[in-house]
Amino acid sequence: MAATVEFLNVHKSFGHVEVLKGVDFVVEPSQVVCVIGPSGSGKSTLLRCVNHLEVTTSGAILVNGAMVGYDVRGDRLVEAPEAEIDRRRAKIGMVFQSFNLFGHMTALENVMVGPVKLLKTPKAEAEKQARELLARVGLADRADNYPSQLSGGQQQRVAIARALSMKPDVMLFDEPTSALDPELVGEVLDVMKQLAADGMTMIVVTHEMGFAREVADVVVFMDGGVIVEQGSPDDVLLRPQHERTRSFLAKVF
Amino acid sequence: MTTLSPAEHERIDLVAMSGKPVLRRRRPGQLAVVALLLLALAWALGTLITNEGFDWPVVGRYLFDTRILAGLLVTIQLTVIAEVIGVVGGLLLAVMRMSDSRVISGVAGGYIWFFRGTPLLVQLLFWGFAAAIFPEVGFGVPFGGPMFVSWDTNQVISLMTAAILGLGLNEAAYTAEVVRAGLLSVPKGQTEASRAMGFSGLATLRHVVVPQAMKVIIPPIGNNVNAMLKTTSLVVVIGVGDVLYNAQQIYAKNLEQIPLLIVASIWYLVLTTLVGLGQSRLERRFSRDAVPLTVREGR
Repeated sequence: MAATVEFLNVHKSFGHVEVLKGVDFVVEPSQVVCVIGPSGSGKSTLLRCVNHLEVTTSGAILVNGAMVGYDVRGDRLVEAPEAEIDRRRAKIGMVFQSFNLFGHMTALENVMVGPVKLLKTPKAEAEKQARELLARVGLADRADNYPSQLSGGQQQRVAIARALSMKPDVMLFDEPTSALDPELVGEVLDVMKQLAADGMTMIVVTHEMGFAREVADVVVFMDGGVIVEQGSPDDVLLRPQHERTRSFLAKVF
Repeated sequence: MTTLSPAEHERIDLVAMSGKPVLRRRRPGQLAVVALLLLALAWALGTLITNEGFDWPVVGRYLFDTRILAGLLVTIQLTVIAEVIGVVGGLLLAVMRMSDSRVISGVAGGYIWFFRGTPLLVQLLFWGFAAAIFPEVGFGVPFGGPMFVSWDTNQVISLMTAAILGLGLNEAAYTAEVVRAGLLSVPKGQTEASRAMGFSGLATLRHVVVPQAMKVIIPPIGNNVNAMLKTTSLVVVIGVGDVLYNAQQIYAKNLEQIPLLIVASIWYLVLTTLVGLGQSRLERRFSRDAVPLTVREGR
């Protein structure tokens, strides 16, 4: 089931530094949203707030109409119980810039561990699903390799398979190709394109303008902790309205 | 480096030489050291054999004496139980030490400070004399409330228990720092990826962080077990019958001090050697992911 993600006046401060200064935005089911912007603009922080890896200071993020880290009690928000947060997180897949595959597990074990330990899927069934997922990302023959024996592109594809193993409603990508050698970027983007075509709701923080143009339904440009501009890829990337967007795009293109 | 003049270049047939192995340069200094070491070894061996004081027949007679073997069993028990307490306690302390709560981390820090800062010998004596401070132990309401059940301390805390508590609680303090270093060696991204999947903090520790910390933790723990095997001999001060205590008991009667100390030492050497073998097996097990690709595929 594809999810809706709503950002309602999201604020986030690290100490005295306000990184997010009121973000309002809605991601519709099966939409692919690419978030672009200069480093320090708050785009990664925004993504990490969605699954409560970072704690929002105020405002709310709703995934399928429910908050991940908070509950409403009376007229204010209270932190949700840990176990409840864990349960809600399981439905949100996340892919990191540095892959973060579990180093002591093979590719297959990485893709099996979530279903086996968290969803209590029987091992045989979990292995079957895991092999299917690895085949889907083109790595059926790498099931028994440890992450250290895989290239960056292969590791990232395993990481995508691992996130998918939890059958998430939405996938978050935090600069998934930024740590890759240029010739390995394509294989990861191909997997992401396939995922988008299959109807997954995706929020992608990226510097890959080509990918954004081709795959995104909406491109969001962030700077200084706010959304400066949003719209169709062609509108934002080719006909930007704001000066800040124009100067950013001039630097990356 | 020698430069060959054009004339020499003509004369010397370097190509023909390539078939013969290169002669290694002699190192007179190294040779002298080897000779000295061999001499020293020969002297030591000679003394071991000829000096009557070692009295090898007596060593042979007592090596498998039932009292020595019984003491050996106690030494092994003490080591295993104290080390288990040490590792479990150390893990607990390390996790507490890394807590955001200053009270929790402070308590763990205080524990480590205290147990590392006082001599183990004193700690062992304390546990041995625990009855002097707490004549009764039991369960009840603290701060002077009623006791539900209680026992005479000397009956519950036997000398063996005192020894185990002393060794184990001390070991926990040292192991805590080893474990903490291991946990910190696992990149933060591993925890984030695990939490993002929905694993709880505890499950993350168990399935993701600890297994990867093992690679860093095991070598120093092996070192600790080796040390613990011999440290257990301190329990002679509270009269626990380990291998050294029983050897002492025997030589108190027959006055064969040196042979019996050799008997005990031989057994310590056997045990530490076994621990070393076990350690290298464990290290290999937790480094499976470091096996090069070519070796894996070759299997």
